[in-house]
Amino acid sequence: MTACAYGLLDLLGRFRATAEPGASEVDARALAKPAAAVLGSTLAVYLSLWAAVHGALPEWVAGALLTVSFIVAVASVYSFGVALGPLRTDEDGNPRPLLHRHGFWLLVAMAGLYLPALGLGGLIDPWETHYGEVAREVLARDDWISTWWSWEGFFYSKPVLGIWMQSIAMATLGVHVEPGRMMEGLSGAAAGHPEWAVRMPFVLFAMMGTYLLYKGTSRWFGRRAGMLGALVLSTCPQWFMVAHQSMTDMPFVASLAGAMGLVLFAARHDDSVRVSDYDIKLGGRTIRVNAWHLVLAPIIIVSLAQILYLLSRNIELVLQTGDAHGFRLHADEIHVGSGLGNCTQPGDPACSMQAPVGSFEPWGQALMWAGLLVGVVALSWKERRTKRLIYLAAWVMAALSTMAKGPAGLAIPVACIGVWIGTTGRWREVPQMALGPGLVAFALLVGPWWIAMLVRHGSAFTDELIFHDIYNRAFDHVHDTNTGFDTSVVYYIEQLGYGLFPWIALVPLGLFLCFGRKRSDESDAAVLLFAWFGVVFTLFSAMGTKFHHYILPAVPPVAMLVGVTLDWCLGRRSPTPEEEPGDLRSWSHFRGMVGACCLTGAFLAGLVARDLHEQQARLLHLFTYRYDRIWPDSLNASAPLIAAGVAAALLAAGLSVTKTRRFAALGCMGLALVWACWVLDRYMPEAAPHWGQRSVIEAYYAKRKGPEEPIVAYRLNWKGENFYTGNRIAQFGVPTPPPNMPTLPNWVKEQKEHGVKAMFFVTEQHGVAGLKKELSTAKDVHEVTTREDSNQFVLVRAEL
Amino acid sequence: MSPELALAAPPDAERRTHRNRLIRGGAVASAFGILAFLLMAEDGRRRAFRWAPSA
Repeated sequence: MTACAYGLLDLLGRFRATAEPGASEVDARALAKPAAAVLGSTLAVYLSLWAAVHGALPEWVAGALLTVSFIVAVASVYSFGVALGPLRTDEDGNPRPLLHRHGFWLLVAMAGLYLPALGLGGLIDPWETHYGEVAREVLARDDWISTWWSWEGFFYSKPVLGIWMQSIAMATLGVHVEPGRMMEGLSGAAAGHPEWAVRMPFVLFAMMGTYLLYKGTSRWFGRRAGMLGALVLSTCPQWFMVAHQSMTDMPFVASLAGAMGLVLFAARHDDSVRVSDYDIKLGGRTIRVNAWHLVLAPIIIVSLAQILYLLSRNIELVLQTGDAHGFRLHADEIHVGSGLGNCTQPGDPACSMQAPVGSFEPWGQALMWAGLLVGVVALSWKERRTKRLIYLAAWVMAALSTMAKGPAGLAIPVACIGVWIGTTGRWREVPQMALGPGLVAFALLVGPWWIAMLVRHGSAFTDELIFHDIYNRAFDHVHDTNTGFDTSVVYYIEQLGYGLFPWIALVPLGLFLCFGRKRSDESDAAVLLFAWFGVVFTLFSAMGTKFHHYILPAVPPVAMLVGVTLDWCLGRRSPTPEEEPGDLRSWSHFRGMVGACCLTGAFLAGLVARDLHEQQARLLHLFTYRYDRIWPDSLNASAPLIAAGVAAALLAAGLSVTKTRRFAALGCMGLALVWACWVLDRYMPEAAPHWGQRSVIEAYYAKRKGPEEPIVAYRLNWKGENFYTGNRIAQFGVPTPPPNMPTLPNWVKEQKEHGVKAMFFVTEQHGVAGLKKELSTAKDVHEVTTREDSNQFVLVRAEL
Repeated sequence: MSPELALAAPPDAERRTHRNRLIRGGAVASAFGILAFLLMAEDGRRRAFRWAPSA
């Protein structure tokens, strides 16, 4: 796609150097070394991931290699940027080496936090395994439009970006998506770790969103404040835990944060500033590149892939059948059923063909989107103003956010920016926001999948996604699991307390510093951050359906405001009356208020830590589905949780004293980094077996003699059973079984007649008694795994 | 030749650059576009379902 997009732009003469002055020239030979470093380190990232996925190296070793090679890749991109020109100086025009770049250290910190334990511990049910299985089916069914999930049939409940990301990652890293081979590695049927593949794109999104937000914020508050804000965000539990989860929320919120970061970045640019041109001398020709290519390339690549895919729906290149080879032209057709031979299993619907509801053929849709692509390129053809191109990039981010979780990806930034412009009077920004090309690019990126689904599935799709999952979730309760919780306005205040620990200690001070001072230039940016928090908090508190993780979009603005506060704490040994409110009386009031805010923060941190200690699963509840799961007896996280609580409270109290403020602020950052490492590298991997099914399904593949000893899911609907077996699993007792399902005893009897001698069953701990009753004719039924392996799920072996 | 004309690029060189660009860009775009298209049109779906025991 990249090569195709390059050819298209070359055809249009987009790389041609014109006579305009001011371009910096570079010989292609000078770029060869850094380009080779970029390619080499990217290959190293790929190989480390591959080694983790296929079990070629121990996971910790592969994780360490992945982290190191990612950091080298970042450094290589920097040296390429220096050789080409744009990174030769910083935004003030001064040379700035890599080790003095705040953005670099931010990426190093994120890589160090997020990558070493990325795939440890198995996927957590049901979000990760649900979306993961849908992504596996995309490849198994070879259908990138109509997504599918086992007995639920077509999967309509989420837009497609998160699914595509996982499918692309699985395909690129060679995950065995064929039924029954999902956990296959180099050294056995359960030696593979597909978790590394499916989670990697989500971490990259988290890094991108955080980095863009840092870029935008640092333009207003300074580089150090921006970096501190981004580090605060990276060490907030709600953020770093969801960054480690392959669920739709991170691409949604990270793109949203990226869009807001770009808006903050663009707003600091003068409309008359133009992008710099860079001429690469290659043999006899000159290739001119600039920021226009950087912004337009993703639009062209993402839309071109969708356009070509749609075109290819009406033509088939038949290569595999014995008799007829060649092209077959046909109307669009939809396959029903789980791919690669799962349709005859109990629990899965039978395979069949289905005609689309509408008659708007994919080739026609492709032509329409191609027209829109021409429109975007034409509308932005002559655009060289930096500000407008950054705004266009913000539109792309909003489009990605919408592709990930629906219209909120556009509605939230539009509402926040509306409030910001209204309150700060920045109306002159509006015509500079690249509204024309931005809206067309948005439609071009988001539209193809939605229209294709609408044409194929009609009201079944709209009823489920738009009315059930978006409208009803907003105004009613859709299978939320917060029974027993106070779902009033306090609901998300409570979750934000846990989600922001230990930084919750600085929130009172941050609020006071933001609004307790006279209006200055940067306070306009604080207004945008606060409006962002206000809009999101109000929207999700007003919504009927409430899950803990829905408040994630409110975390980035709070984190950035805390970062600005931290910068203030680090910046001045003691604020002077000149810098703060005018007369001495208000000066002493100011000092008193700072002290009171810090002590309030210390109390808050202590209270939150007490709650986290009393119910140690609370951190996991920030992103899981059921909040009534009990913490396993075999695990005890008391000591680290108490230590973190005491340290956070003491450090927050230390912030109240002028003399110790700087050290306390540094201590807070140190504590937050250690905290994030502990949660991601110890707490989550240790808890994962009790919240997911990797360990029990792994035990099945290790203990079975072969496929002749099948696995059966008994009264399960946690989704891990389908993902880890590649949906090669018979399912009994599912909520909506397909018609003509046999009963379990009858099916077992039939299997025995066909020569099956033993079977494995995966079920919940409380389902074992019922299972034993149904298997009364079996010679022996015993549990293979213990509560220490998983306190929720159990593997049972039955001798028939 | 007047001084203005001497400064301008020779018309046939301009034409040649234009033609080269058309050939090069068109070839790259078509080659990779067609390759992507064919990969997507390949009968993987049929294969996916032909392996089904029911088929």
